Amino acid sequence: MTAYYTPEELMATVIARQVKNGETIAVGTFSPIPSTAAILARESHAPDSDVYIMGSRDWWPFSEGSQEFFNMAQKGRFDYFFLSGAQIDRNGSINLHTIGNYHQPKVRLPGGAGSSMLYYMVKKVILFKTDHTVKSFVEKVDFVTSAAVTPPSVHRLGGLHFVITPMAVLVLNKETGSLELFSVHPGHSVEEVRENTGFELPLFEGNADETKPPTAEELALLRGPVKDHVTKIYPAFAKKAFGGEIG
Amino acid sequence: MGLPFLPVRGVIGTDYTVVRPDFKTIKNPYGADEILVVPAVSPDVSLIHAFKADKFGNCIVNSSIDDALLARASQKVIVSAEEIVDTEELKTSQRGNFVSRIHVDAVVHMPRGAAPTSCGSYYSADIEVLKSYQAAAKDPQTFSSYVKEFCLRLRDGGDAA
Repeated sequence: MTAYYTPEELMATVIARQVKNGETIAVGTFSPIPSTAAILARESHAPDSDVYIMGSRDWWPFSEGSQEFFNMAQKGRFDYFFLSGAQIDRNGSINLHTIGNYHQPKVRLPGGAGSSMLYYMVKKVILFKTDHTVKSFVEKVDFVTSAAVTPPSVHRLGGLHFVITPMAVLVLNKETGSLELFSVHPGHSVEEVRENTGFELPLFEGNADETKPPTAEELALLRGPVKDHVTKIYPAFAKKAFGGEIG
Repeated sequence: MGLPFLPVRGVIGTDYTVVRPDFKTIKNPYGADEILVVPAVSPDVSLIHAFKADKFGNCIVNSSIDDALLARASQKVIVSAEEIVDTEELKTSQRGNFVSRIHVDAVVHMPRGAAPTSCGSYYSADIEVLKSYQAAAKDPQTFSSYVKEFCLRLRDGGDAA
């Protein structure tokens, strides 16, 4: 029997399961789903993991500002970080700058912050996107704010682990440098994911599994201690992202 | 730091190098890789809002952002503060980073000086005002009335928001 769950709960659960106990998870601004995932990992199988959440008092042990945080990232001290973009393309590049021409944009976006360094220097970067449409998954981003695939002359410690959306999990095929479909969430189909992706999407290693939904135990943690923590950081998100009591 | 540039990891292979010709790729003189260097940011003047300051310019600033770094990088620093306190009280203050008077040129007592954004434990962001800013910013006329209402009020003798 599968209990009712929200897309946010599913996405957070898939991310949380990746974390091994003791790994360091860093979360940037405007990242409620990754924050939920990091806290769920801590509350379940990774109690010894360090979790840093930008913008939160409880989860921010730094004393020297964001400089200290970015220097630590640049030293390769983070196992996980989370990025997103208005556009994500076939090669896993993200766009946080402009839609349209950079000098005469249709939309001016907030900018890249540290993403052009973090994508290279954090061991495992997870891209998360709260919509999955042909507008957000494009053949080529209008502006490469940060890239998953770079020349070998550049020192790169890590990179793209996977992409998660409300419909599916995508991974990078290292040989072709292109994203492929790894798994499809329950209630969605391969056809639907492909229709909503603006580039050709092969199945990773020839088949796409169904994403494993949250278990009753995971949902209980999410709606109990995890929700309490997340409410302090993202009150509006916490109100809508967590399902009700498990009946 | 007084240096003309610093190396930064990453960035090579993104469009930053297209739109920022001042970001240069060099060979790492101590390794086999290529690395990006970026010019120093050296502000003429920084405006920093502190939690507490004394009359000499010593102050306590938010430790989660880079105000202390900004103060040290700038030629001139003007500190506004929620509270003006005795130097002794700064020494026992628990939250925030200490910035020495040696970096500070002027201090202004300015309660609610960070509004409508947040200021530590003093106040939260005023979402309604920020939303009205967002709406007003779409049009030059509504934008100037926002500026008049929320930014020029102090100059014109009104109270802070």
